[in-house]
Amino acid sequence: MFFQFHVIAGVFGGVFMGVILGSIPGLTATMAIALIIPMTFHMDPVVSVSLLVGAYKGGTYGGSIPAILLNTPGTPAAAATVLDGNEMAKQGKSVKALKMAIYASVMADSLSDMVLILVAPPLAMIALKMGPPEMASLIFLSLLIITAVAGDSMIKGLIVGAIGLIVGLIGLDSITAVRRFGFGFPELDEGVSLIPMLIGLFAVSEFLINTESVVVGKAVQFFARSKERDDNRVTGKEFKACLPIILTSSGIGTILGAIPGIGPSIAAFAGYAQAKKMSKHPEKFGKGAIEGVAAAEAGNNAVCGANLIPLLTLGIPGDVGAAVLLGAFMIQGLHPGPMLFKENIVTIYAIFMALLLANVFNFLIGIVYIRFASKVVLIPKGYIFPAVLAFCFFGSYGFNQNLFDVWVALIFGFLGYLLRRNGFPVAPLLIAFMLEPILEGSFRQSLLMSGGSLVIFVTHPISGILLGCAVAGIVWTVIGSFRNSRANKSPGSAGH
Amino acid sequence: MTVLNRDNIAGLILLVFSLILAFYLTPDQVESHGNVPAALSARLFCYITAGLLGVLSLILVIVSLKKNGQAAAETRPASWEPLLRGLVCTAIASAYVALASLLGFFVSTALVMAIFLIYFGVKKWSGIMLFLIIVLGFIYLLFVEGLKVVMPDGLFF
Repeated sequence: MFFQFHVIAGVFGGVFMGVILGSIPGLTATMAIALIIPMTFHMDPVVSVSLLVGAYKGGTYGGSIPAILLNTPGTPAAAATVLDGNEMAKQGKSVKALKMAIYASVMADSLSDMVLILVAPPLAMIALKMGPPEMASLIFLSLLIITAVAGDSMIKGLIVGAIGLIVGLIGLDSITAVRRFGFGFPELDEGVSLIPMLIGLFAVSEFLINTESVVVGKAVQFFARSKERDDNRVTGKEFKACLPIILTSSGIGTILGAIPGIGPSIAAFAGYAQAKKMSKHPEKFGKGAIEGVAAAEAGNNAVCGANLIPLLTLGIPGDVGAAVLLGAFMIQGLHPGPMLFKENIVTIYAIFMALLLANVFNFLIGIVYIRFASKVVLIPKGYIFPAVLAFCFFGSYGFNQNLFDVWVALIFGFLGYLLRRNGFPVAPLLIAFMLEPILEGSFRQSLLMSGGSLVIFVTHPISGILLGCAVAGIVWTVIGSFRNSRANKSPGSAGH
Repeated sequence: MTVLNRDNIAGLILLVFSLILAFYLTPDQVESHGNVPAALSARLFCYITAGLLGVLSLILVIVSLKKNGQAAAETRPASWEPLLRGLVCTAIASAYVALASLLGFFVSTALVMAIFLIYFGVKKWSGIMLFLIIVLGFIYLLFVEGLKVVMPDGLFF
């Protein structure tokens, strides 16, 4: 069923379109799937799903390309890649960063696909057992991790995370359907749209920051590529150093990806945080560490396969991309859930084969595409940024076909610009915004279960352990800060 | 006299915002259901997040006041000119979005792209025209033909 030319061509086409679209700032893997869905109405289910999962994987990897070259993640999942990827590009090592991104992405993707194929049902059952207190504690811990690693200042990261939670409150309350912070705009009933907000925070703010550095009337060049051979390839030593990080980050991404609602962005940041702990040179993270790129890309791509675990076995999409995939499955008459494994086992295994083949194509297309994509750094900024701005606004409009969303992109662009200008990281805002509905829902459901008592978060074992980790993390950070400040105040530190 | 640096100012602004959120915006913009359990109140998380932002902003103000001497020198803007440029470009982008529904998305995009191309230092008109045709052509094929996006009606295209 799988080894037919049109199925293999479908996987190739999906990955190709996904990489291209994912690499355009503002166009996400979700948008790539949305673009392809209308083409699949009359296709065979296996070809159709192969095309779509290919686009999903290609789009997730493609997002790392503008993240590295333009400091603008093509997808939310690539937000963590910016931290070190763009720093490497500034040092002339853009090709090295792009190559490490493809190696880490493909390895992580393949590992998580293997997990999906081998242990999908048991893992999904564990995820299903997570009740509201466990989910609330997990999200709380995830938010702490994210805010702790984004940017130089933990307090600024936490503040931006709190702002993200506040933005997430906008719209109808999921429990009581009460309108919150609508300010008379019916467009806000469903909350702030994710895509325009993402585009605004990352791409539009990047555009505005770049307008500051322009000397009017004088052309500005991008970061030049180094001509050193080792700066344009991943050496064996570097790959060996990154391998444990890729494997660990893949494991984190696979576990987090199997839990519905925890998308690739969180996995990328969690993998990044773990890599920072594992590295012999954690001080280099955020300043162009190749391990940082490997960890972020392995973390977010591992989610691709793992996201399909709850989708295929329970019918629960793991993130926005998987939710669009769910719709595409249903168009083809496939209803994901436990029965799918009984009724369509041949189709399921054909999909598994498509997933594995998509990784091979992702690698081949990625390696070839790097040659063209890296040329972006040679194009004058004067041409790139006006085009990026146009894509941003068309991308914001295109998803819901609503001019209100373009205003949203602009407002968040300005907000992102002000935050970044003052040393606040913007990634925690996006992550907190995406997690707010799950965090709030789980928190309030837990309170309802316990009759308003907060003790429920401690008495549930998994929740208690997760909260314990969060508290330990906070205590560890505070102690570390005290030690640092005491060390800085000591006479011997003067001049260091 | 203590000179406020950027972090002090940002912290104070956010602290004021958290107070406005807790004491004005939430009561004004989120309907109350009277005597319902806290978990059922749509305002619960609004107050929690406002409180969180307030506490964190206060910490930022205190921490930045402590290291005011060195931080002020590092973070105080050298000149208002870059910020002014950013604000002017935001105003141009706002005018673009406002014009999109009047002139049409493609015409207003062509106008604003031409303005920014010149701003970013592109001088040749032939280059600008060619670039506009390529980018707008690609956008048209992708969004209008590919994604079947219906653009807002304007005076022109």
